[in-house]
Amino acid sequence: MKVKVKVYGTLLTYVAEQKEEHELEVAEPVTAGELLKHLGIPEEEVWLLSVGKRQVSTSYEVTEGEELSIFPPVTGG
Amino acid sequence: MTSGGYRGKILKVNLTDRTINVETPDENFYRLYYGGRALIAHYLLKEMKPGADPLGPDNVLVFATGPLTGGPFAGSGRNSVGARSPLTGAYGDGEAGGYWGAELKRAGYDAIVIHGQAAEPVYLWIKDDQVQIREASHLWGKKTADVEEAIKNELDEKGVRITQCGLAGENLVRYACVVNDLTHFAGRSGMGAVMGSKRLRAIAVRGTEPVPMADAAAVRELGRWLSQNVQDLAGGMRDLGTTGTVMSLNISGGLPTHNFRDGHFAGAEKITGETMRDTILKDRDTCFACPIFCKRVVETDEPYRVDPIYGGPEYETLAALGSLCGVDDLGAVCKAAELCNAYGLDTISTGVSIAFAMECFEAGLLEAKDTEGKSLHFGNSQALVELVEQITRQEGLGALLARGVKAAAEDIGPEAIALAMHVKGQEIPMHEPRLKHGLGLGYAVSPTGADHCHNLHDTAYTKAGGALKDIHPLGILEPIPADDLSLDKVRLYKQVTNWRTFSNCSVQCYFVPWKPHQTLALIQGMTGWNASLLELVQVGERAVNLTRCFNLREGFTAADDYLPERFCEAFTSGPLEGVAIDREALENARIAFYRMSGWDDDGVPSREKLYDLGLGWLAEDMAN
Repeated sequence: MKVKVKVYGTLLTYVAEQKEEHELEVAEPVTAGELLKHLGIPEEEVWLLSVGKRQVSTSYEVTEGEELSIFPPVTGG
Repeated sequence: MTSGGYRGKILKVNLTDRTINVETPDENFYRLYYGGRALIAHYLLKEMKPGADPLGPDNVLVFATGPLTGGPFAGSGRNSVGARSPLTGAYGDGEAGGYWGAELKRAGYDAIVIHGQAAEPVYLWIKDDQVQIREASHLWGKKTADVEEAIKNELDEKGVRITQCGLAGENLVRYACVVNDLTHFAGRSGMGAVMGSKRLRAIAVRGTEPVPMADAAAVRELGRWLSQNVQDLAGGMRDLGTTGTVMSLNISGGLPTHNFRDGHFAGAEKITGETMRDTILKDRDTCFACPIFCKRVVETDEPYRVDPIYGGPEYETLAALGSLCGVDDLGAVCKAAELCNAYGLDTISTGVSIAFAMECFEAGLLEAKDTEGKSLHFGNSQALVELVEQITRQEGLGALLARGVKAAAEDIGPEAIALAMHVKGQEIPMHEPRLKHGLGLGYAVSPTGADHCHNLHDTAYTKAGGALKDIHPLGILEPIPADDLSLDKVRLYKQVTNWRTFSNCSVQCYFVPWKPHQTLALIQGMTGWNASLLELVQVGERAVNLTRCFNLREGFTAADDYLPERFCEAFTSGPLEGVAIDREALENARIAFYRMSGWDDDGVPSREKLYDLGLGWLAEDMAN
């Protein structure tokens, strides 16, 4: 199946060519955590995962056509 | 003097008697106070009369650089502006990037200390060792871009850099800011009003001597390394700057919305950094020697024509003038931001003040007769823009809001006080304590009132990732949940705030990804000192104690270390529904922070603690 993944902020440094949007062909079922591994993004660097603007955990099963967003921690200055 | 990092001269200007002097502190002075906040607090404690009116001639206004300012590497283009704050009555400062700070160092000065009050509007013109107080009546009342252009034209000198207050500062709006190079702002604490009260509209600087470096090769090598690797190190900062955080904060339930009543904004997607990038972003801008380019430049057309000369909004501005006011019209948010920039208003305090008025209106505490018939419901974008004008000119409701939400609420009445989102009179920045509980402790005990810069952002340290590894040298080894307020969290807060306060003394940018050991190497390379990480952390802690003692001297007590009650009430909707700060846990954390800091339970540093920090003179002053 095809799923979309969007990578934000400093996490872009982990993905090839710092590409923000990815369309991945993966076997079902696939969890958000497995997609992180697929892209090479260490889980400990991730603050928040969301699907459809709703927060999800690493065990969330991403389904065909959904978009997973991956965010780093937010600080301030 | 040191072999580098400093120029060894402090410019002293008295605007009352128009005298100009130069002080040349010894090396130990610089090594104890470094620059920025610690240096400013030192001058305020030594040279400001206790009880001085923040908007009177006895307040002391300090423009300070640090040992890294003007160095050939990212993050070195900043300076602080400090004084007794007219917004809080406490120690106040703000910090801005741009080019002005580096130019001041090139002109030969580490800081400018300003006393007195000019009889008529003036500006300072500093060209290396030539310093003039020049007449500025013709600049009074003008927008910042007009003043910048007028001064550059009349000086007819290439490379002049200008810092100024705006119309808001002239009009003594309590949260007027100081503007560097038109698009960089020392936003917090009302330093623009202090400039305005002294009738000092601007300081123009041109310097021709590079900042000396003890080990130029080592410093340049680090600067080169960061430039070459900036894309890998800074990730999306160039693409979105700080605006990239709107989306994730909204999803987490921590996007300040409707005067902090909510943490989730239905219209958030319309005001995200991504939307801005894809629609109205015209350019990206940067500061002295920085390859990151995190600053935004926007341009919009009707109905809200926004002039790109004033740059564009950062995260704090998007949230303060957007979600906090319930406004999802990006053009209106950018217009309000442009006006804040053109008039010299802190966008955070402006947004919080307007959101406060909107909630008061919805609660019936302000009526149509108070708002000249305007409907001030959340989401009214036209009212947002109009109120920025009114605040600047202290007209209509703007005259009330120009005093900040604390004073405004006291005028409106007891029910409004619960809606006034501030600590010590400083409006709350765009970071939600119910998402980051340690940040709530930080808001409460911060010397400048609610502040997000020298604060802890708990969400960075909830996992064993790179952010936590970065502070391993500070002794923090284990992740801690964001909603924790245990003794371990207090320790984390104390270490991080000391470190971040050190950045306010070296006056370096938080957004450049220097690791602590690299910051140390830059300090060593610039100054030639055998500095240690312990030394740098102690400088931060020294600044925390200097500012604490200043506030105690000015009558502040532990009772001023509070958090607005709203944060102890649970969200009723959104992803953080049901989450609140536990009042008892916060109180326990506050006392624990005092004790870990060597302060008594009233928040007073012990005599021994001050001696421990090399501040024996302050211990003796405090005892008298």
